[in-house]
Amino acid sequence: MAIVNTLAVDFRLALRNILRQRRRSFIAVAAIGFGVIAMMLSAGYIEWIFWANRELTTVNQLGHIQVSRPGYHEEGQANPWAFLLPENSPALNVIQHIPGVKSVAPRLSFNGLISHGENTISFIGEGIDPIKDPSARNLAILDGQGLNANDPKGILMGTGLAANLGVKTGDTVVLLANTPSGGINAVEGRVRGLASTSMKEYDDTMLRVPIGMARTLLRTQGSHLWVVSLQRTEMTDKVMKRLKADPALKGYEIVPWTKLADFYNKTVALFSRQMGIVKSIIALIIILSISNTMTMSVMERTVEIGTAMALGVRRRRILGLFLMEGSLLGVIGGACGVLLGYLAARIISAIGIPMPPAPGMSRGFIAAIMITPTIIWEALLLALTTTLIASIYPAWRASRLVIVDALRHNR
Amino acid sequence: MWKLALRNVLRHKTRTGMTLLAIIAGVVGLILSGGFVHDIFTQLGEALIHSQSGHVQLSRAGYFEHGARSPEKYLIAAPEPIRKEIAAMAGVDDVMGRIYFAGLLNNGHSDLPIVGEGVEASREARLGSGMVITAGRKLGDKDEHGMMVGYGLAHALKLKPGDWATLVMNTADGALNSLDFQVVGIFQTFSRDYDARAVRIPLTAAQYLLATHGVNTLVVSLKHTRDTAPIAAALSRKYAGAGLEVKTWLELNDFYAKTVKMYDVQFGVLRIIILLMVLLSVINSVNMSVYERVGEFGTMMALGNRSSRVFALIIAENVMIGLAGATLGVVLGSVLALIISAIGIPMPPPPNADLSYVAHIRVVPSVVAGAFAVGLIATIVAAFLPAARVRRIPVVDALRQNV
Repeated sequence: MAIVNTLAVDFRLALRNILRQRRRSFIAVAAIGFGVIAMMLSAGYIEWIFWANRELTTVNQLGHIQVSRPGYHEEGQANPWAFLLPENSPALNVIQHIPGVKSVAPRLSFNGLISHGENTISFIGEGIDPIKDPSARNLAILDGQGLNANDPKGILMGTGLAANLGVKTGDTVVLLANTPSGGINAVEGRVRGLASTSMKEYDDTMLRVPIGMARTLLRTQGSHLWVVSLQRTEMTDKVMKRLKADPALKGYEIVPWTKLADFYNKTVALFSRQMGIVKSIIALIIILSISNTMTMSVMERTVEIGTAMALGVRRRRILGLFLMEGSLLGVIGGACGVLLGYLAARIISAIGIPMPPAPGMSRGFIAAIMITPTIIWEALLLALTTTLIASIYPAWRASRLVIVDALRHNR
Repeated sequence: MWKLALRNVLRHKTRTGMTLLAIIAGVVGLILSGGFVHDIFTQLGEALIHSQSGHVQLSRAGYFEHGARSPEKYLIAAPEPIRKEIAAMAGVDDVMGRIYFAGLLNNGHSDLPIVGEGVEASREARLGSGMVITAGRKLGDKDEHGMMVGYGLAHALKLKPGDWATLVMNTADGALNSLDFQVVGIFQTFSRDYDARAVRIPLTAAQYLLATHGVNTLVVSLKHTRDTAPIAAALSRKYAGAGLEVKTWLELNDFYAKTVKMYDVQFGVLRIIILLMVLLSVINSVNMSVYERVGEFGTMMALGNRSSRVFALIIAENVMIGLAGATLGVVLGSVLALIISAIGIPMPPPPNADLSYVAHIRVVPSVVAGAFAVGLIATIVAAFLPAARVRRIPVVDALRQNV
């Protein structure tokens, strides 16, 4: 009971001290608050970059889940005809009817020769569904237009390939390729547009055609991949489970985007390390700034501490009092910081941070700041812990002083 | 007055120390974060230079725009005299010829389109420190029928060192020509797309296949990357008359410029946050240490010092603290950067590559100067507001803080 009573008195004392030392308290609260805001904004910004990377770049090119014959991803390039999927099958039907699946698009990979006038060069091509395939929308078109379902002979090629071949948008070209049966087939197409990924070696050989045209050329009705798009990225795991459990899909290889997206995974790994380093520098500055302010504000009150001790207050109680003050300041500063930080994040997101286009993307994008509960907790934890630790040391030192020296301080 | 300011600075040991600490921490933070971001750019650039492009490339005018279609039309017919001339220039490390061709590589079952390079093996080996051999060995001068294959290409065609593969390519007159090569090594660069398509064979073999003695490009490697611009300009002046065109590695790697631009904005936001934090923390410290001394300033004014003198004194003190803090920060930041660099920060492989690397923190003069300026200016500016307010406090009120 006595302890509770002392605590209650201490609490009231601490509160009064904070209110009395208005300017010092304000500066301390400001330091803590700004620390929380800075931490929230930087973490929220990094969070957004990862989100954008996932949604805008990766999933848009790979789809969420890819279904193929077992081994296609490893050995498909060396022997493409061994891994053809049928055009229609019960399996395809099953996938389309799983809840959460937005669309399933077939893809057919092939390579061959493309010629225009005197020139003939080789290409690496992909037949895609112009409507359903997520990658159809997401390429930087430098000239002309992307693939269109109403233009079954319209093809899209890399700028490098077009330059090497000497064609421009609107020209007619002939594609030549080996068919599974071993013969050679040719079809005529029209260049609808030129695309660029800003990887020169890729652009020098890239060709995309509507899948119907690829099938005509290769004399097959099949495809290599079924690219499954979901309504939301978070559903991937759930749909994966259902696909794996379905008997109709036995004998197919089902791969989620996380396993395919080598580029994404590496970006995340590298970027989180890079950002992590910058973030820890920010955290260090915040820690130093808060401890600096707290230490200063306690040191300035040495005389007061001396007076309290001269009046008979125990050293331990002094320590407790300052700790209580520190945690109160921490809570107030933290709360203000979270509130203002959230507001700032909303305002900045509403205005947007303009970003230049990533290599291979047509458009730049507008970055925002994404605040998640974890981010708020982390920022609060950092600020509170720092404040507490920062107020222990000077309070401990002050409570250790010889009373007369403390009283004489600053005189 | 400066003497008095210095004495004040030395007398208030704790306050000076705390303010100094805030400034030092800020300056160090700015130097480390700036140096780290700079290192990312530098390392990416060096990787590109040393695995593919070299620092500067010379070729016949028009080759870079139109040459890929028919490299044989853009040959430098007699490269040797030019090579010797450039190699003799100051700052140039080496010059090597390359010849390019497009074709198909066949492993007996299927074939893939490739981009091929005929290279001078021993010279390329010296440039290509950024190219890692994952299996086998580098191409040597004696490998007449040896070939190095990119990692992705080798994987796709299931080639390993010792295997033979057929290279099919168009000759200048349009006919198809094919030659068997033995894979001596598999290489990996910082570009996955390049590795998925690239083949390297000896220059002499390529020249034989294409029936020429010329080269497409002369790749110049320099002793220092920073010399790129002046040397490229000098080469440009010298050889423009001869119908040759000069490109620097920046112009050759479109990808680099775009990546740097994107990274710059992404890290720029974080650096702004750091900058703001530093400013606030310095302002906070300075504010506090001035306000805590209101009583002292009151005494000064009571003794007949003009308030303008008090103001000047506060500013003078902070100029000193700012200078000391910024200097110490620069020293400490540079030392820390060097120590961290010596240890190295292990980084996972960048996107589009399979090689991890070790990051350093570079001591960049412009970043260091910027950090110094921020530390100093923030301290001085931070002093203005409290100094102006102290000046306006009535002497009696100021004196009362002493009690």
